[in-house]
Amino acid sequence: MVRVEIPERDRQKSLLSEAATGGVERIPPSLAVDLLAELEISEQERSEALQAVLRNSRTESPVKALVIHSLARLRGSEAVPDILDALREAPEQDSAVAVAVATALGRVGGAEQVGTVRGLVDSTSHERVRQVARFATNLLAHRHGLADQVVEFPEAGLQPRPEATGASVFRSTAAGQFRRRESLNAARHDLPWLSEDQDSYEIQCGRQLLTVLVPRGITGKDGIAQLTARPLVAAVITARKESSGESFASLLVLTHPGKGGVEAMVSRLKGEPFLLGKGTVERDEAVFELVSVQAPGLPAVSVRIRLDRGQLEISGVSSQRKVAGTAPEQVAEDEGL
Amino acid sequence: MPSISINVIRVGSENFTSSDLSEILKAVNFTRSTYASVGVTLARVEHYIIPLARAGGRDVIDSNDEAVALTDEWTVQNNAVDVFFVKTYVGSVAGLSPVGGPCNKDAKGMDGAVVELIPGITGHILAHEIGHYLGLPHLNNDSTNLMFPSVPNGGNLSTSQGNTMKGHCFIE
Repeated sequence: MVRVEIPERDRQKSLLSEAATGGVERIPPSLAVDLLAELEISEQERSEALQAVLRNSRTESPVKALVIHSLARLRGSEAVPDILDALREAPEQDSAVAVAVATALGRVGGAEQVGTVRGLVDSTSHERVRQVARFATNLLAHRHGLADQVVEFPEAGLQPRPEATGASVFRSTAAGQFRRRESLNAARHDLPWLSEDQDSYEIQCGRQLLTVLVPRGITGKDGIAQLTARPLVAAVITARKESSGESFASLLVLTHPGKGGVEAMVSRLKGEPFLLGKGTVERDEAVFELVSVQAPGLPAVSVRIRLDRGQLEISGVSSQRKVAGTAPEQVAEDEGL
Repeated sequence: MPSISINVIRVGSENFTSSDLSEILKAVNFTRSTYASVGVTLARVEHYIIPLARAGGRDVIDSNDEAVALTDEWTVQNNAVDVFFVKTYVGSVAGLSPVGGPCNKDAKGMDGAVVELIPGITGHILAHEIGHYLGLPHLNNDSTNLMFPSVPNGGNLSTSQGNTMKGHCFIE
């Protein structure tokens, strides 16, 4: 990994605002937006600086998208009016802003934003916008437990369960307070709606240390009953990078009542499915079985999750191989411009 | 002489201009001359594209996790290092690569390098990340060295680093 460093004297609101619009060659706009969001000034000044970049006609569309994400991270649900303004002011064909708005609303919007996001699905033919907006609608429904919304996980082929021989076998343990706090802080960087009331479990899967945050009480009788009553964000999973020790939000676990049980999906934050499966709930116990989808780059994984009498047990097997990546198109050096 | 080959993969290819391509080619030449100083040549440089419609949003990398996913999802099946060029990598990170990257690109884990195109310093980023792939860790106390954790830096490599690179399974 390598980082771009800029001198301390360059970390000023006016210079960074200029850089965000492409006006300072040595400071990439994406870095400028990030640094603006971290400046040691009041939250109001930071917000205003970012809003000014958003409204500046010289700001390129991908940078506006980054500003929308930063505002959502900084201000959570209070950023929704600015996010909606950005959508109203963007040209119809601006897919970068539309994608950013859908993503941000999915993560910080209230239940009332379902209509706005669904409108994005219906009003555009741009497939990426539609895809992101569909996931954002799902995420809103699961975050707010909207039992009246039709929620569906994407259809995908599933990989066969991996053989245990030669694979990584994993089992969860309860995480300590330090790891819980580290994981919660990391998760809230991208998912500011996540409450303090989370229990945490660790899984060492090969070289990856994952921490699973679940709403406190989900393993109890009432919590388990919720799984059959409405859509839920059942867990947020953070990963810890071995080399740097940094943690970051990595996966979401969404569940909703379905035919024959409870449907479950583990997806990346942008909605790409990783694991799909079903759960059964009987008396005070819920058991889920999930396997990985057939998609380039994904390893074969099978997971069993059991919730029972205040306990959560996660166990499974992860193959050392993955589905082969897609081959990009080979071109002559100056082709494809 | 020991040599390494790379696959230059432009992610969201429609967003790359001819100036961007010039920057990439300059970066390749910088890497070539830097590695030559320690006896490693840059052999084949092949070019690939991933159009926006197929990039799945990975033309903008907004987390290290996403950079890893990009290298998992796309693979050139040859014995060269896959280098994914993106126009935007959010935040201060400008490149990511595993240290001692695999030669089996079907094994689980990151199996390529991701490089952000930043005018004037893309060469440092590219050479740094391929250096990681070939087994070089950071040198935290020497800002003249290519493997100093931030760019721009002095861009130098030592003989010892060259020897480490030559031991990688992709070296021909």
